Amino acid sequence: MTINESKIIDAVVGMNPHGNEEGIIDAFTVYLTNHYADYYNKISYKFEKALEAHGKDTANMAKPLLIEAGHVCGFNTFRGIHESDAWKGLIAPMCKNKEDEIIGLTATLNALGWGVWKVISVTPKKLVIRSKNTYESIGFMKEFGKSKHSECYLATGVAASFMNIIFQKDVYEDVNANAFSAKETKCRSKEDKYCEFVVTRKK
Amino acid sequence: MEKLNISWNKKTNQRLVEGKSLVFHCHHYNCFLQRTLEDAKIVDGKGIQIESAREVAFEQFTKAFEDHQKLKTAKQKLKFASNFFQIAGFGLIDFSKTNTEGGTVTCPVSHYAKGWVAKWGKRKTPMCYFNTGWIAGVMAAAYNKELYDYDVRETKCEAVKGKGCKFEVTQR
Repeated sequence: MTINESKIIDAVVGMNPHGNEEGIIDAFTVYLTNHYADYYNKISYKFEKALEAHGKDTANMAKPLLIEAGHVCGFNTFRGIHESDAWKGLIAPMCKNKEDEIIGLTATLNALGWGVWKVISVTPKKLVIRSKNTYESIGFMKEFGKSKHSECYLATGVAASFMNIIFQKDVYEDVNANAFSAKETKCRSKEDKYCEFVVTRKK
Repeated sequence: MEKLNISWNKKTNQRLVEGKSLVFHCHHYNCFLQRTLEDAKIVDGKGIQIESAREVAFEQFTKAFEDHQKLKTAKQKLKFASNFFQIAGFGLIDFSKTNTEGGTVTCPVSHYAKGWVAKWGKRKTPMCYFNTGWIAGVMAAAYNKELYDYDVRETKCEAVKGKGCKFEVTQR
């Protein structure tokens, strides 16, 4: 059986997560918000610009900090999805191997409103994943125009988290659980045709 | 009852409200990102977050109130906005003790405070920066004011002590 991405996307979209009587969305062991893409883009890029304006010593500080925030996001949310009853019932039966699980996680990501994502290639050592419409590149271009460097920090962190969740041994016990890292090798904010993320083990 | 229409675009995998993208994110990201900006003392991380929330809320609800002409009074508009706050998972919010000059807004439940306490426990200072800015933007849209016409200060925060959060709104 191959991964039926459309079925997964339809199922997650069909769940229609929304606030309960307390205004809380309690799903996949996390509290979710159906939040404004514009808010995340404004605070991330204003933060980046403020650090750049502060001087040479701080100009490049925003990138690793925002990527790590993305990694924390991905590691917690998608680990919760991976361990959920919904995964066990719908997606696990489609998976023949760990590579299929990466494709399954990507299918769930496609239901979160983050744009269209596709796994280009995956092995236990490397993941290449692309999107034609990340909300980060859309937001950056709208506010600031073309960038000299890649700007999809959340997405970079999340891409790394997928490999750490699936291919890292003993995720809970291993203090080096953060063993994969990602680079955004192409970005629409640099006027590339798509955004591409390459994930490999840290050396 | 009037409600904001959140639609799913199957071609672009985007969830849209009033033409703007909504994206699902968890309390881990929301709180970690907030803390990242807050901890960088050389920039005004708190101000960046409050003002960004003000801008997105004002833009969203200025357009929404134009599109929903059945909403005639500020009370109706604020109830409409508070329904979105709840559906989006931000918590519960009550504008009933406000008027055109300001007033008191309460959040019996706040996603940000709840998420922060779940991750790190209680803290020393109020932390619902998103709610603070959102309230300022929504009040300005509902009472037909300009973007920066209201100041909002969180005077009680569940992430510091007790239950629920409170915000004082004053007109500039």
